[in-house]
Amino acid sequence: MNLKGTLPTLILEALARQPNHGYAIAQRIKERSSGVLDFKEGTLYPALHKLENEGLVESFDEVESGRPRRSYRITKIGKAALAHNRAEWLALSQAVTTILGEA
Amino acid sequence: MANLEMWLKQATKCLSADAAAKVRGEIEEHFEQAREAAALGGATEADAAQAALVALGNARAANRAYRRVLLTKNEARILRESAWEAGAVCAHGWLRWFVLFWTAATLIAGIWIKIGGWDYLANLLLMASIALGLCASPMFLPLFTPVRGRMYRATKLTFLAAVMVFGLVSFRQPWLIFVCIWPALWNEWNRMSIRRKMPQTDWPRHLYL
Repeated sequence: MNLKGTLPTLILEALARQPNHGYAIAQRIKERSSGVLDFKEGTLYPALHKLENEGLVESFDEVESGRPRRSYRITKIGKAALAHNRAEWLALSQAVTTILGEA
Repeated sequence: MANLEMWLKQATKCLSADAAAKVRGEIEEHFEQAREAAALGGATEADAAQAALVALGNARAANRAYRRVLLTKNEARILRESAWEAGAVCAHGWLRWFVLFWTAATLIAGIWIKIGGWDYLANLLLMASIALGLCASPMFLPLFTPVRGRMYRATKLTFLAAVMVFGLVSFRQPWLIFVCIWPALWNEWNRMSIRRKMPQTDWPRHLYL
């Protein structure tokens, strides 16, 4: 399942727990959704760059297992955006559940 | 690996050299990790590489997504040329006084001719003086903050729209004014796209204008 427009929020959520690199972010989203949310990993990085342009995440270089890697961490503005998106999503999903539950 | 190379070639199409290098680096790193994970899961070398490539998805879709957030070749060229133009003006201090002199001269001439009753020529001169004034103002005014930059751009776009309307209404050949304005509009459109793609902290000064 690919819910269009949710990827940036899912990335922010993954980074809210700890800074991470692209591959780990993709795996975390897939694992946490038990494989239900599937997205093509090639589109993860454009979403990360967009978040970086908007100042919601910032990137930094680190070395892991002797390999240089570009990792990302959430910023203060990113945390605020995540809280806003989370509240919006909960309200929306609750409304849809109520309507579908009535049918 | 040849398949990854083809994927990267497609995904980095039309991107600027810096953006393409960035994409190449992050995707190669990602691919390597995905391939290793698949190999650890028991897949053969070829299957692991294939699985990592499939997980990346469609290269064209990735290219479209990258072009929305990273600079394209055309935008990088515009940015380079604007930097050169700004540098050239800054390198010649007399140029700003030269532009200011002509702004004042065309304004005075425009008013003078308007009083004389030649409205058409006067309007042209007054428009020219506003255009020159817009060119000169960044050299004298501290416009390089987000709010002031936005106000300057709004003024510039309003002026371009006014020239367009004036040209279409009063010229016998309206296509001529459209041909003259088109490069400026195209340039503005690209600069808007560049501003969206770059964090504000990385903007060169001329991008505020």
